[in-house]
Amino acid sequence: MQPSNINNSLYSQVVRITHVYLGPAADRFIARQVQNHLHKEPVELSENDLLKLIDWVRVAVSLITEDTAIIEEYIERLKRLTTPQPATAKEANHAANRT
Amino acid sequence: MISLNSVSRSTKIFIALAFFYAALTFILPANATTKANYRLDDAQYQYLLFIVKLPIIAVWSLAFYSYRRLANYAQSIKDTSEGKDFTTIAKGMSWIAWGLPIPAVISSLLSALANAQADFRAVSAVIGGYLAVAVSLVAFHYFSSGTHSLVRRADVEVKIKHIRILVGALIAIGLVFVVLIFSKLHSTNLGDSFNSFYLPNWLVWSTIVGPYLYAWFLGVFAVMEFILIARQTSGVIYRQALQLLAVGLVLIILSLCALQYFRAVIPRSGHLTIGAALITTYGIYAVNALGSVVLAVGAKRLQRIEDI
Repeated sequence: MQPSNINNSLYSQVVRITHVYLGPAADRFIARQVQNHLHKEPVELSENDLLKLIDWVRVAVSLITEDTAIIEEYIERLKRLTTPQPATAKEANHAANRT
Repeated sequence: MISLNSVSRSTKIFIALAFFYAALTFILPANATTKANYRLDDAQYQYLLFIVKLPIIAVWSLAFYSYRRLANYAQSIKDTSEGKDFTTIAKGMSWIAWGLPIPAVISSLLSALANAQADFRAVSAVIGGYLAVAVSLVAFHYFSSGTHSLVRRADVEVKIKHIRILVGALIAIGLVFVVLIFSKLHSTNLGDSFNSFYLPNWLVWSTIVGPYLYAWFLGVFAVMEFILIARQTSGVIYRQALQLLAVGLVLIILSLCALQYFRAVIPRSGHLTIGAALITTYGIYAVNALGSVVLAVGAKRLQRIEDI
């Protein structure tokens, strides 16, 4: 179940946010959630799938860490993808600091 | 309920080896020196030796468990860019996991032969000494190769101050080691083998001291690089798990260096001695066991990220 070079902007955005939390495992992690729970290939991820994916991500990450603050922060950033907003410089700095 | 079929072949071999080591206590003849020193009969001697061996077997079991955990994690990411590096580190851990019980079993058998035939004592000491050197060289080579490749892949920055600390620590460790070994050799004549290694002095320097110093350099270098990876890698949750793995690896490598250091300075006598040496060995083993537990927890967390 290897994620390939997926040219899907939404998928890429989800992976980019996930990378802040799961590092090198981010791409594989999101690919698995999409394939196992949405029964789609990562390349097929659409905006309609996003809320369902976020729910699954929340469940999955809760099994990995008990740090609810990190989980909520991660989920909140994913939810922002459902209502696209331009990233502020402060957010960009914050993301850079976390990595 | 765990069925026997679900247990891996390597685990079965390890369990058999641990049982065999414990059973040797009751199979091999009691050591006359120990019996006389502590005024024990055969049965008392065997029970005492068995009690002494139990914590050591527990340490081996933890090392083996942590190796299996790390190997499973490496297997689960084998097709990824960092998978090959973790497989190399897991190979190093496998040498540790097998390198603890196998030389101990061989040493027990050789010591028994040496107890029966005094001429064999030198052969027993030499084989035991070289086995320990070989295990540390191979294991630390794998650790160093794996962590160095991870460092290059993760684009981790190794600063000059890290190199300075590393070189300083190694020079300090090396100098003390050389002084302690020198004090054991009794003579400066290179051909003299009147020492606890039963080897000519030149062989002690070239095949024991030199390789140990090289192995420890690889081990301490791997420690430094893995700490840098665990601190600088991306991913908050991933990093937490990786840091546990790093702490475990650091404790394991440093405790093994300490154990080899101690064993080289005070070689095994071939018979049981309850004293400061045994307590020190137990202390080092306790650090090793703690490292194995922490490494297993870290590997389990990393594995969970890949499983869910």
